[in-house]
Amino acid sequence: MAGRHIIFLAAVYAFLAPIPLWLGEYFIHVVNVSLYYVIMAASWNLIAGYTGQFSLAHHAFAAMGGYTSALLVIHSGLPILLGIPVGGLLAGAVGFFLGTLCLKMRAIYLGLATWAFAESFRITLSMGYRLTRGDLGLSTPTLLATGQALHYYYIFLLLAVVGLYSMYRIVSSRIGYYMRAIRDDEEAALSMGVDTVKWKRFVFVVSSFWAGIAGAFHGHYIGLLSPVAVDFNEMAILIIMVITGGLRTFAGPIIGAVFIELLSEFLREYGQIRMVLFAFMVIVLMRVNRDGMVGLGRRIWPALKAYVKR
Amino acid sequence: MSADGIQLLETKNLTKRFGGLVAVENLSLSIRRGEIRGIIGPNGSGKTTLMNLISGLYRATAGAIYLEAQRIDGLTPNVRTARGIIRTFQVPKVFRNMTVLENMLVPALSDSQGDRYKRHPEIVREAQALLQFVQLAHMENRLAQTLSGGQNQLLQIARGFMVQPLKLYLMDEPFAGVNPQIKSVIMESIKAMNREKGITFVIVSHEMPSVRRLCDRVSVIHEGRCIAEGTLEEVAHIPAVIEAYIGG
Repeated sequence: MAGRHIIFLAAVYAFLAPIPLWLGEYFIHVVNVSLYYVIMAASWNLIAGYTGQFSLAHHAFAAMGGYTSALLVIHSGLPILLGIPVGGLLAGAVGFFLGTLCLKMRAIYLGLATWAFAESFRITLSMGYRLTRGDLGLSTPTLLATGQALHYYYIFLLLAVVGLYSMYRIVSSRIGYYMRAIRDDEEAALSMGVDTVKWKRFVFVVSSFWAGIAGAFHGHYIGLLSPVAVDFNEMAILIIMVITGGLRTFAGPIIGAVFIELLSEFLREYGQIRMVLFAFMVIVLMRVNRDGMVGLGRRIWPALKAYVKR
Repeated sequence: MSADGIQLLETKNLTKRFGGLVAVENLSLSIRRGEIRGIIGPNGSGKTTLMNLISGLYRATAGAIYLEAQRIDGLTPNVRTARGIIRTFQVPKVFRNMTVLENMLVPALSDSQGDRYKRHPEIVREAQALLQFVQLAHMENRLAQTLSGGQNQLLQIARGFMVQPLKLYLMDEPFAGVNPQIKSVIMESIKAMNREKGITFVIVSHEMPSVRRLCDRVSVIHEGRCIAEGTLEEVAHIPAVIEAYIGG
């Protein structure tokens, strides 16, 4: 059974591995950042889309993983390959505490509490100048001696494939039932025997862990960390990615992350105006197609098949 | 506290206060194993609060709840489900974005059922058989949000039957707002599960004809207290009950 899964993962990896052959150095970098966002969006979808816990601290967990790993590597000489998982684990542990703190909160209250946590973390990073170098940013050692994006692509791809697979295993198991039941009606889930406290904490931990891992790896790729990564804009872009792709679907955040990151690159010259465009896009989507691109695809697909048959 | 094995559920001086409001006051009930007990009373008398206390959604301010002579009032709702207590809600609480079949699987796959989830195909067959029984089999792949109110009521009742072992089924207004055909399916399923599996039911209802047909005994709740107990015919002649319903 495990062998079959490994073969499947290897096949997916082998299928996606040649993509950079057709791309220049800059676009490989864009793809790498897309893969970072794929992990971020998919892991946020676990908590917000599947479990209905609208956390607004996901970007903070990525930064937490990044700073933890970077500071450990810089100050204790820990190898980067150990620093990254430690960053993920710390983010997961903090996710556990934040999840516990917010257990009884729902909807806007949960959003506000998690946003307040993220803001506190951002301010702490800015003020902890001696350790984090504040708004000047912290230079982080890069994982590879080479600066070539191509080499990082293979590691990002591995991380994304493994991360997505582990998340897929969760949502397609009985835990996925619990998550969706909690999202739809927590009281009913509890009355049906679901240990809602345990599973909400679990999802907070898993989701924060992957954000931490992605953030740590991203930090050691870019070579710089700054509190800007904890700006609300960063969280907003994650939400836009998931909603554009399709909240509550597994493929949605993957498609949305790649689409928005690519679009963002094409619109780079417009600066912050991009956010206005994205916000407008989300409003239109919410009005006409709430299921995002995945939902649109599901509706178009039967018509397309019928057309091809004709 | 009875330990003779006949009593399934007992509440002793159960009290629930919300600030200054006393919703349930010193309420003592004793439900026999295999009984179908009706809980009746005017609006706002504390019936639903009693359901919430027994199922664990509310913590009692004072008093105790025993299931099979074991105290359960400190347990969380999911642990009470593991002990064999399940409930429905007056406004059906189904998982709207899950299919009818997925709704059925949630309690069977839940933490309360230990490693039962490992027998997934068997659970699916059980769910399908129950859906057949409540005449929802043709809708198993539809999202619950597409069902009518009455069908959702049927679904939440059938979903509860997926729990094993199921000893006590608490139903809050199962006949409210459902058409006669669905009402009849609900009545038949209660009677069949009681007869064939020995499940004990506690049914809160305003629907007196259904209570008369189903319940061995009824408890009349008024202002959070149990003011009468007996068959429906017996309690209907008690002056305190008449006064509670008509006012005075």
